[in-house]
Amino acid sequence: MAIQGNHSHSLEVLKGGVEATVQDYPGRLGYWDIGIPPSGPLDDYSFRLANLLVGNQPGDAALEVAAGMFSVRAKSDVVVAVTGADMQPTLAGKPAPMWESFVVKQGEDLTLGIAKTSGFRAYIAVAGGIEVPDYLGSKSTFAAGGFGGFQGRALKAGDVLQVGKKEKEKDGLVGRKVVENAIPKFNQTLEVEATVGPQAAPDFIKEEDLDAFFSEVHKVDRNANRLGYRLTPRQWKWARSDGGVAGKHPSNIIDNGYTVGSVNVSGDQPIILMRDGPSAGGFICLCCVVTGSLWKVGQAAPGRDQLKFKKVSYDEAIELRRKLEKNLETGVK
Amino acid sequence: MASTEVVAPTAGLVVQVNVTEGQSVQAGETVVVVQSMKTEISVTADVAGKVSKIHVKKDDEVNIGQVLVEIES
Repeated sequence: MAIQGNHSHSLEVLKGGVEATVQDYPGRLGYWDIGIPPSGPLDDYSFRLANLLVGNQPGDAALEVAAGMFSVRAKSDVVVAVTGADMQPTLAGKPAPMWESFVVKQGEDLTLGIAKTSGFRAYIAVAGGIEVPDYLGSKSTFAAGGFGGFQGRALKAGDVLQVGKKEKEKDGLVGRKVVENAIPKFNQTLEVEATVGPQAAPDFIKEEDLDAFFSEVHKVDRNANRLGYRLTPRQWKWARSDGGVAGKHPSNIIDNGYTVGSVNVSGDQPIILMRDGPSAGGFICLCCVVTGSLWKVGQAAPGRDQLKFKKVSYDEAIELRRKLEKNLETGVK
Repeated sequence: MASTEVVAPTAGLVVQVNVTEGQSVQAGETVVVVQSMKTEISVTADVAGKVSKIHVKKDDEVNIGQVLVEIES
């Protein structure tokens, strides 16, 4: 089917749903030192696969749909792909494929339901990418800061998203698929790999408690979001009786820098710092979810799913990231 | 008459029920507000019709996919 590349394409949002945002990858890098987070897709693996399916660069701007109930109408023929959580996508009322590129004809609606059984975020990529202005070098939405993406906020009904022009016609853009072994499976208990520290045992918590943390399953709190993935509070065996000069609670330390993926312990509650999260603060960071594994966290549904942490070494962390990149290179046929 | 279920898109706490049984609603109208992800989520009716059944009340905890309200249209 011929998709014209020389005229303006757009999508009209019919239902904004719970939290649908424009994101790009790797997001807004270079401003962490002044507290501006990278933002970008929480599941950057599914996000990049969606872009690759429609012939885009893997990091081009596309849509992240958290929890679902989202619907767009094509104002012209466009090629799209839906990946991530299964929200029972429909095209013009009929089931639409996932992990595969297809055409949405002018006037047709692409609709997502909810993540009924597993996963929490779906991604919609459009050939040509979503056109929004760059802000500090990125098209990613940072809604808590009110900037980036589409008017610095989640999408709502009536918004019209411009789709970027493609340089030229791309043959075979439709019907491209993610190969079976590259499609991630989202279970209600997700295992995520993490490196220990920087503030762990024996200085901040007891050795046996670190082991306990890695053997337990942690329910995701209903207030988990793009800033932080809150987990259920637990009783810690602290190594210190208080935080010394930093505060009364033994989770307190003198303010220091955080990294995206840090498992922050705020009082008794572990919180995984996500892509819209804080760059610094005064709580211990027990471990860090590694880059090659962090994408899975955003697929854990708040109030429903559980996480289990698996201790990995620095070398294993690098290997995980390599494997993920390899899957992206070979995952789309 | 078709019955349409309005379901919770995410687990959360019901903070507001905007409708009463027997009331007419428009498509797109907020029927229930659920607090989740540190924000308040307006759950809307997909179709216009009459509220035939309300399954939740304020302060109820709901799960993903739980039926909140039924609408006859």
